[in-house]
Amino acid sequence: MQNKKPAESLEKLIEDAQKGDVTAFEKIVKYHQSYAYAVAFRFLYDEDDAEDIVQESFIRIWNHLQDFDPKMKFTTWMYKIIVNLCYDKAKSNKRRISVFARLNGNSFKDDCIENIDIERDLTNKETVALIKFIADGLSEKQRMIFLLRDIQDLTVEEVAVVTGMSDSAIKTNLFFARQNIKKKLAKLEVSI
Amino acid sequence: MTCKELQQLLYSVRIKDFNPAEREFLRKHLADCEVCKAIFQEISKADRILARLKDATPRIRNEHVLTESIIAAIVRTERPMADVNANKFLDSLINVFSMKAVRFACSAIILLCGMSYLLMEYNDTKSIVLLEHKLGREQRNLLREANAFAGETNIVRLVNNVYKFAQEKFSSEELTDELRFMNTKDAQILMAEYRNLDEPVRTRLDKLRNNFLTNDTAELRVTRNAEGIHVLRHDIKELRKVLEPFIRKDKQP
Repeated sequence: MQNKKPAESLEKLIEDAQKGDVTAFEKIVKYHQSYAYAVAFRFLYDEDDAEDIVQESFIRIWNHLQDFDPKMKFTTWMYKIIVNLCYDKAKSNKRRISVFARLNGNSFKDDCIENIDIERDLTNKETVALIKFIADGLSEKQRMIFLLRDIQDLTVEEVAVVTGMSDSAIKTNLFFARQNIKKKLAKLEVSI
Repeated sequence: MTCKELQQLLYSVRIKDFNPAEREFLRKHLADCEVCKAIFQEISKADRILARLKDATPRIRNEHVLTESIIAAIVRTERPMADVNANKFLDSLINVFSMKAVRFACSAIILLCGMSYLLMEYNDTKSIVLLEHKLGREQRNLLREANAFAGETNIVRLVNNVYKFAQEKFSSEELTDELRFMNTKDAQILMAEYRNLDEPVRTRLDKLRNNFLTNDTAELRVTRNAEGIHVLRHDIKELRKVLEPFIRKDKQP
């Protein structure tokens, strides 16, 4: 996922973009869009939705770049915007899916994960199947906290800023999410 | 630590986040406890799956297309750029005022200015009140004196007119000689007028004449310099001239 880092410093690029330099902003987008996509995709399990979220996030970032506080890490600010958009998207998806499910008379069936070979690189589809499997039984908040802390490797403090929750609430949710996920994965029959 | 506590720790905390003491305990405990060892292996497997999940970064189908669509969208978006400098200026101001020393200095200056202003206002008010008192007192005195003098003004003017008339006819030497003065027809009229005055008025006129003789109250009155006093001053000077013969007469033993 590691994109080529731009030659200019991020601070300089942000400063130029704040003055209206689209080229500077393009460099910011190129470097950060895969991180943004990873969070959105892992939370929404859908490539189209994730790309929409990435696009919407960067438009918002561009429009509110003047409000960016340089004391904050840019990625933290970016994740905060993405997370809020993901929650909104998940809410609207939930409504859409429940209507669709009612029309079809059945609910969506999770992809089977028994055949996943953990030893080779996972495809997007396999990743979705695995995330769906571990996310089952978790609330959206627990899922997002687990994703940010254990998969995206943000610190607890950063997760607190991104989600707007207290450190103790994050630790509690993380405790529950890890227990739940590990118990499920421990019982999973996959080839490792 | 009991087996239950250890298992809870294994489920809720990543093994890489264990502190050295916990690691040591885990190593020793797993050597003896088969149940915990089996759970540890399961959890290790879960951790490896999660690690694979972490490595399996979802890939954007076409990064270039996505970047282009983002840039195309923002180019269409008009962002107000005029605020950039204003925001920066405000930010720098906020940064300056967020320093404790600056905040303290500003508070001290504001407090000092406020106190100085209040002190000046107090002194001004005090001076104004004192001046108003003084002016009021002087105005009242002047008014009283002007009223007292008004009754005499007609007589003074009459005397003045007669004197002027007499002055045209006689030399100054003659004027100083009361006898000769008195012999003239006009002087006789003047004295007749004087004698015909009511007693209280004549007394006041005499008193006034005496005051001019001592040359005190009249000058004091003039130096107050109120608007209406100019007239009085003029009348007094004229009166002084008119009454000069009488004064000289009074001075004579």
